[in-house]
Amino acid sequence: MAGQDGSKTEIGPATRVIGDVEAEEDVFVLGRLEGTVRSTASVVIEEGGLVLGQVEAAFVVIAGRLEGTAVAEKRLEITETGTVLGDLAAPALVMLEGGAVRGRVAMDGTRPSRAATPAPSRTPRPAATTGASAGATRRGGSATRSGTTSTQPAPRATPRSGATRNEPVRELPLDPEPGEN
Amino acid sequence: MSDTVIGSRTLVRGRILGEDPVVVEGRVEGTIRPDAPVRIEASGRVSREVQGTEVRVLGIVEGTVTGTRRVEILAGAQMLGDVKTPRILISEGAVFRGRVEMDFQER
Repeated sequence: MAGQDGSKTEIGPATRVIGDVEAEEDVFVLGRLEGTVRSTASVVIEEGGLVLGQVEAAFVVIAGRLEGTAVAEKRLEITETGTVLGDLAAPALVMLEGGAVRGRVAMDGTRPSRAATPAPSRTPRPAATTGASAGATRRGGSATRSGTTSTQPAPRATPRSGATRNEPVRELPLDPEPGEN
Repeated sequence: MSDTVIGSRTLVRGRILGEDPVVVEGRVEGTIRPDAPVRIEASGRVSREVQGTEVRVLGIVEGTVTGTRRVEILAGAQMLGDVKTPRILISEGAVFRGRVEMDFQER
């Protein structure tokens, strides 16, 4: 859980992590992470941050860019600067205007498989992310994920519209109880 | 420049690269190799390899430490492995087992 002692993990804007991160505290990605990041608390991809791979956490916030899948046990939020190329799963999903997603969304408990990640493409990125303090090097983002043409059928239960009908979207605070959690 | 911090309840398996200073309060199994200073806090634990401009060890390191400018093994540290650097400081209360390799002129 997010530290009572204020402990957290932060991947700086000029840092590149290749591998897996496992945390029982909040993880903030301002730089680049290639691999899997798991947390029992929150994972936040900050504006300018890039994750190539898998994100799994109780709470996930995407203000930067994710190429891969994200699974949130409780809540997933994509801000107006967030971009996702890949599949998302969460019982509660909030997406702000300006956010961009190419992939499947499951709010019914089905989990996206890693293979379903679409190849990165030239999605027009929201203007806000382009300028950012982001170092030029990090933006290469050409993680050519061999665009595995997803073989498995679409999760049948995923409703196209009115996704919120059976799943009551709980109103949760943006930051999960900062002091306590 | 903001730091990269590996928190006390985090484990990283892999490589940490880049230009941000790195502070390890948790565990890293792999390589830390920024073009910047590295600090292994008392709660920190690193296995395999650390390389930075200045490396300060207060926690546990099993592996190779390279400081392109200097290495400090401070009180409370447990350093098991080799150190390569032009300048080294080993404080009283530090435990160190390994080799030291320094390039210097014989006096």
